[in-house]
Amino acid sequence: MSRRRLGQLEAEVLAVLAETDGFLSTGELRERLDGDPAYTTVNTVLFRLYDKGMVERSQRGRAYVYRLTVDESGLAAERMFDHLRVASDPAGVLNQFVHGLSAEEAAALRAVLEREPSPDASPPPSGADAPRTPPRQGREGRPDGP
Amino acid sequence: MTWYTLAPALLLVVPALALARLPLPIHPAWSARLLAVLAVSAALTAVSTAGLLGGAFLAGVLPPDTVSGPERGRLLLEHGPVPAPVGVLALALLAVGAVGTALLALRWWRGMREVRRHGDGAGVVADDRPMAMAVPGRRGGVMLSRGLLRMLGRDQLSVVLRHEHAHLRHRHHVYAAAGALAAALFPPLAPVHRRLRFDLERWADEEAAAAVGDRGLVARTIAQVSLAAPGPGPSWHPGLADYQVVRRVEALLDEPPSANPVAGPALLGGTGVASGGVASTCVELHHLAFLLLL
Repeated sequence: MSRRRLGQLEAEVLAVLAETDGFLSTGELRERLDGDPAYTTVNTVLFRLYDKGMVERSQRGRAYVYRLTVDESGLAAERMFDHLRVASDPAGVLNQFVHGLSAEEAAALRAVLEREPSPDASPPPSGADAPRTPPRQGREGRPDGP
Repeated sequence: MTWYTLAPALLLVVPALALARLPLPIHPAWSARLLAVLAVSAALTAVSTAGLLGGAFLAGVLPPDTVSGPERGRLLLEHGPVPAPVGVLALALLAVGAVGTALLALRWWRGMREVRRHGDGAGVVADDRPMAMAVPGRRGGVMLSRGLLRMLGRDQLSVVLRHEHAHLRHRHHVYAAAGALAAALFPPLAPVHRRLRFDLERWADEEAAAAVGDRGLVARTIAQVSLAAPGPGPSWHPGLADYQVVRRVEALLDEPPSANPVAGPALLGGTGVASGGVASTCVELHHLAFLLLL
């Protein structure tokens, strides 16, 4: 099991847990994952995520069940994100995935997306509020690497 | 003072600014490394030159008996008279650099404190705005907002995680800090810092694209998240709009860049040796200024 595949699974496990409100056992998780990964692999991924503090676990019977750790305080996050919003972190402490767009930037971005026909007929989101509930890009069983 | 005094600084600052404006057609990973090396050596050389000129100017202005007595003062005087405008400009640059560096250190310290106060860097925070960031450090990791998890599908979430992991794996915060330091020491290098930050994002984008094997998916994910992300903060002003996200999406919709397995290292090695040489001659000159201060 390569590092890369594990990383991919990590993302998938996080996504599955994000879709679920309650706890999931390793078996239940495995059923919802694509590509039928091995039980032990899923366990490894869960343990790594637990180690990183991204999931929490509890005991159901003899097995562990997991759910996403969500920092409900919100205050810390608020401060963090506000810190970033000020001129997108000039000191370079954090690397943010994207920064929010100004109106002109958003317009330019939409122009680029419209110019480029989407390869798999999933149209790029239009309108700033539209992408909040996007169509899932369900490409199940996508071959992983060569 | 002759024009040769300025030569080392010009030799490094001009190429750095040129690269920031007209980037070479190389992989962002090499471009980022190149810019980081150039930015730091250009800033050090510029500060050394300003220190030398400022010191020589002061030595010329101060009463001769206070300066020419000790050996070191005479060394500075032998450097020749420095025209007043140049001397004042050099001293002003030094002052600006000192203040900028102090401010940067303060911001850095505040940023790290925010990270620490949050406890672990990694995790999911209960925020409905879609955001993700890489938090460096031993207890760092990828921090995601619940809004992002809810908004993205699995493939897209994997893009975000891979992008942030690339930042962590390649220690991009070190590059970013080097660029920020260079821009603080010598503010004219600010465009180099901005370009460096852009190249770091591009680097992580390319890593993510290589890992998921779908450039279009990465482009769409970036576009989708940025369109839904909260707009710039209150201190933002239109001059800062640099269309970085737009250019990242465009680059991903374009052909993948060559990995430059030969040109990249050769360019970086050449630049490293050359800029190291130029910077060290300058720092040696700078010893004179140091001697005056001691």
